[in-house]
Amino acid sequence: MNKHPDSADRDAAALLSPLAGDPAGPSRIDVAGAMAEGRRRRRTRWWTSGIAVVAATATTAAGGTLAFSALGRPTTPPPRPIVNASPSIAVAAPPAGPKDCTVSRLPTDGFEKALVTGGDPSGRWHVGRLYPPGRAQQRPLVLWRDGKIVSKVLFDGGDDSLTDVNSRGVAVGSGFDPDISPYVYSDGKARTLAGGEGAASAINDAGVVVGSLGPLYEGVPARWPSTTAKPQRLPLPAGAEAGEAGDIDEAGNVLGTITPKGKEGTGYLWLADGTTRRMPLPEVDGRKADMFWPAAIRDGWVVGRAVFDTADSRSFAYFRYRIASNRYERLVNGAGMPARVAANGWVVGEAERPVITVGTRNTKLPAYSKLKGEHDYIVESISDDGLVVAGYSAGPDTANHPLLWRCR
Amino acid sequence: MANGSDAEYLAYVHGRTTGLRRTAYLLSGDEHHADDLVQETITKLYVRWSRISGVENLDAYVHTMLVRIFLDEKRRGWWKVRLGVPPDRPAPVQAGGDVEERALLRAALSQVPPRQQAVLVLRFLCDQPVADVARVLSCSEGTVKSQTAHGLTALRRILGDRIHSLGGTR
Repeated sequence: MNKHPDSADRDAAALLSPLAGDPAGPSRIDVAGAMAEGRRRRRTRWWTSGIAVVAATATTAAGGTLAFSALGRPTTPPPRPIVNASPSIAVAAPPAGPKDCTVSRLPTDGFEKALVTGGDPSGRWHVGRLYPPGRAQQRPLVLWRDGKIVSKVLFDGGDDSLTDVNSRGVAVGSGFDPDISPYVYSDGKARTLAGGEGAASAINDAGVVVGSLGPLYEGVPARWPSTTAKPQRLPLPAGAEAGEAGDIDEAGNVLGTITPKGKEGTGYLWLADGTTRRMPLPEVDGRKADMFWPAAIRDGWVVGRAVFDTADSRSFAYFRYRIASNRYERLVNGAGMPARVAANGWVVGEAERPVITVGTRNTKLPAYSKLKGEHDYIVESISDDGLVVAGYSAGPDTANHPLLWRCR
Repeated sequence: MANGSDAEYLAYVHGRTTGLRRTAYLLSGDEHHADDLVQETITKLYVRWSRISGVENLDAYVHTMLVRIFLDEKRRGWWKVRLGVPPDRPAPVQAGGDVEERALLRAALSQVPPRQQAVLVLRFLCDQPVADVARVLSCSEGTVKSQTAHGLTALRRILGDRIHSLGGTR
């Protein structure tokens, strides 16, 4: 075995040593199952044959009653103007905010464990993943429309996931075999996006996809002008060696992170007008943040958290940011960690339960009553009107329930 | 119905399961999760077996697959920048004893960026040399060293004063 010669390495090994050891329980590895599953995957390599796409119900992805503008963008309420920026969100008039919120479990065709992994701006489409019981089975990906399953999709590759869906029901995601590959699912068909190794993070209603090209964690931010187009690299500023585009709004503003050499990533914007902007670092109590970690963009709003490091601790503060004014507003206490933002500027955050924050008012969304014990709620989407939120529960028993909250 | 290739696969996998489980357990900190990681690794291995069984260093290849599968699972969490405990919920109360010490350290490690987690585990728990870790992560040795430094800094930051409750370490 190799020895680590210098004292820093010895200290590190000592620090981590309590974690050493072997798994105590018996192995549950199922080699025969792996071979059976491997044979099935060999037969159904979806990107070459497409035959593994299973539609549970016939669906027309572009159906529905949404009216699209030239940009393919559903009508949304205009953002509310901000009068005062700090320390909490203040708006011109107290908005009504959501009320009478209810929660329901999305149908899973009998699967006990399932996730919601994304949703569209209309609040009608959601994407997720089903977990069959036992191991050695593939996990079908799922599309819901209006709370009902419309497609189940089996992809080859490992650990596939759909990350976003637009108001036309076009979904994007990524899978591994073994390198990461971006794909699109539309009208019952799945195929890889052009450009080779990479990941797709988000799609807007115009069909513009953003993500990254290259190996995981070391890729560069990228934009696909359409789901059939070749990707374009988004420019990295001097000193940055990697990055990722994580979200895009309807105007085409792209939100992501850039990673300077040897550091952690921080927020960056590739704006629709062709300019770029390193997200400024907000201040709290006179101290400027070390980084800003963005979570989502919608209609020129960005939400995320500022990171404050000291010699021995790390703390966070939660913000909403407006591209037009280049200003941050600190979210009120109780807003939770911001996960998504609606076109009307409402913010949904993660606390003990999901919270919708409108101005200075927080509305806690209801817990899913069938859960026993303490659970976390992970939020994946909010509709443009702020009234439909989707996410899932995560509890100590490793079960997950895909959940949809509706408000009036 | 094993043909020669299947027999080779079986022999290979049976001989490596213990080592793969151990690495997966050190990466994930959870037995069940570790078994899931190994199951997916050997499934992918079977899919590609006919093409890769003759590669020069198969063990390194398979360990690379395992680490990538682990990092993939972390990736979605990375973009959302999840922490194990939602910020509005109080952090778990510390207590004495080895179990609590492990839990504290594991919780802190899970908040370190995933790639740095992998570097720390592979170097200091799996005792792999820098060059091997670089090969597994497809990066330079310099990057492994810098990721090590950043990972340790992050881990110490996250632990804060609680680092003193970890017996005899700094």
